[in-house]
Formats: sequence, structure tokens, C-alpha cells
Amino acid sequence: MGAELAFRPGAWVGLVARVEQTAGATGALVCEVDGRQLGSVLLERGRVCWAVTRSTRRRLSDLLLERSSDLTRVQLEAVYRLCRARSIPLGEELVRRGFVSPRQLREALVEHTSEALVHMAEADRATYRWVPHRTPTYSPKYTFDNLELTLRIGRMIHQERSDAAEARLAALGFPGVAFRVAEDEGVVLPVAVRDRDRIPAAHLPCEGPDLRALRQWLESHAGRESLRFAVWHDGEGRRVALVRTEMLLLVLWLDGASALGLLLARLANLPAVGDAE
Amino acid sequence: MRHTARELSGCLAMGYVDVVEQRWVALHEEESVPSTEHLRQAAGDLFRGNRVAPINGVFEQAPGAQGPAPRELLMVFDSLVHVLQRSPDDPDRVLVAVFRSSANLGVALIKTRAALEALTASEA
Repeated sequence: MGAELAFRPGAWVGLVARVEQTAGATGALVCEVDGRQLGSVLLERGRVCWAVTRSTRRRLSDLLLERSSDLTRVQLEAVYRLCRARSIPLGEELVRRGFVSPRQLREALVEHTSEALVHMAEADRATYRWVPHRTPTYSPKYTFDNLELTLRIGRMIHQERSDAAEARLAALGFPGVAFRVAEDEGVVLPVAVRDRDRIPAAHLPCEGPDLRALRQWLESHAGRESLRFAVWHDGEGRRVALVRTEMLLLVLWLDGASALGLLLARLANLPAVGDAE
Repeated sequence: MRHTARELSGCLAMGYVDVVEQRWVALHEEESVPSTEHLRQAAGDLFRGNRVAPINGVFEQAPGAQGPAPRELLMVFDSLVHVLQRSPDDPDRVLVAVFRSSANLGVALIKTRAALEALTASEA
């Protein structure tokens, strides 16, 4: 799938920044290209809950039917009509009636939304217009933060790279995020995460380019030496490591007195080969 | 500093930088290291400037964090290791040490910390 997409990471990062600018608001970012509406992104208290474009391949209903053996098209259409009449979210009503599980709904929502967001990030000259909504409608558990969506999209675009990144993070064993860094394409996108709940940084989807610039700057002041890793320590036991492999940049959170020793030992055992695609 | 640098296996250079004035307070080189001058200039940016904003952001968001400003930075390159440590008594002073990549990193960190303590004690 990835090779067919003209996904532009810069456009996605721009959209993420636009979402962050809404500062926790509820409403819609209407995506327009040359004055024509391409799609929209719904935000619930600053978190994305839904996105759709005119070219989205599969509808949410199809995704739910694929996932749930307890749901038939007839049942789905009946609930859909009811939801439409009462202006309530279809997915949550299906969960309430036991036709789909919360997990199935969440998976279907994030898949549909990610696909739509990829389409928006493919569009040239896309702009976003904010339309506030008065009241939140969707449950917070069916909303998604920027890192979750970025990782999902990263996996859609670069699945093999995501697998390699997950393997690297697992081998190192610390909470962290892996960015795909391809110098020639200018791509800096988070593609894998480990122990998400232990990662404090909320703005990482936008920080990949800055981290790459930091790495390049470290190399420039070291006389163009190639950086293997860098570790910052706050003097209170908290450390952040930047680890470079051939096509990945890993940001790791190290806690505890023995963490640095563990990192060094694990790095020494990390295969010295490039990140196999 | 000379004594510490010579005692440390793999230590190529060790210096003490005033990052505000961008000058060496002291510098000892066992071997000429091409990156030493760059390091002097970089030390300020690494601890005071906005070059490390993403890393500072991570520290700021960590639970219980008091703010940015990391105290120590270890950088491992293909053939060199850089250690930078900020003085706990004077955040404008940074100890910079350059090692061969074959150096024992744990020992390098401990010894540079000890060298910094000795330096700050001698300044007091």
C-alpha cells in the first residue's frame, strides 16, 4: 500500500500542528483544496474522533461488519436510521446494544480516520478551516491523540519499517519512540512506540524534524563524526537518550540509577547491521 | 585536570568552559583533537541555547521534573566520545572531555564527575 501513496509527512505534521493549535477545543477542521472541500476532521476536546474525505475507500459500517460476527447489515441499517433521527453517534449505540465491542469500534474508528487523514496529507495545497461546535458528542475513549494517529499512519505507510523499529525498541527495553529518518526523502515520522503510558512527551509527532536537526548539529560540532547515541541526564536520575541506527532515530526515556548501564549493555548487543526493511 | 586526563585511559582532551564568555577556563589536550574548538562553542548551545529544545521539552514534561537544563551529556560518535558536565555550583561552567570511542564509558563518566568536583572545590 505504501508505495502507491504520495503521502507527504510535512503535510501531516502541519495538520498535527493545526490540531494542537485548537488547544483542547471541540469542532471540525474542514480540509479544502483550492476552495473545494476535500474532507473534515472532527475534534472532541482537542482529540481527533473522526475524519472523512470524499475519497475514503471504506465506510465505517463496512469496517464494523468486517470485525463483528454479531452484527448484520440489516441490524446496522436499523441502528443507523435511529441514530440519524436522534443525532447520536452510530458506533457508540452499536456498542451499547452489544453488536460490537468497544475495542472493535475503536479499531474501526482509528482505521477509518487514519485512512482519511492520509488522503488529506496526500493533497497538495490543502488548507484547514476551523468550525467550532457547541457541545462534545463523542465519548473520550473513542478519541485519539496525535501520537497514536501518527503511529498508525506511519505503520500504514511504512509497515516493514515499523516492524523493524518495534524490534529495536523491544531489544533496548526502554519506553521510547522510533522515528523513521530518511535523509533523501526528508521523512521524519514516528513509526513505533514502546510503553506509551510511560512516555511523558505529548508533542512528539511534530518533534521528529527537530530531533533530526539536533542529531545533525551534534555531528557537525563533532567534526562530522557519525553519532551513535547521546544521553542527557538531569542530575536527578532522569535520562533521555537519542539513539541512531541506520534509518531510525530512537528517543528513549531512562529512569533509575542503573538505566544507563543497561542501555550501554543492550546497545552493545544490538546488531550492528542497518535496519532491515 | 592534566593529572585526571592522563590518568584516564583513552582521554584525549579535557577542558573547562565558561559558556557565557565562550572561553576556555582551562584546557589540556593529550592529543590534538579537531573537535575541541567546536566543542567549546557548542557547550553553550547544548546547555543554554535552543538547540536542545526538543530534549528540554521532554525533561519539562517528565513527572516531577523541575524544568529543563540537563546537567550531563554523553555523546558517542563512531570514533570519539564527548562528555559534558555542568558545574552544580556555577551553571555557566561546563567540563568537557573527549575520549577515544574505545574508552570505558562508565569509567569516563565517573572520572569526569570526579574531575568536576575537584575543579569546583579548587575554585571555591
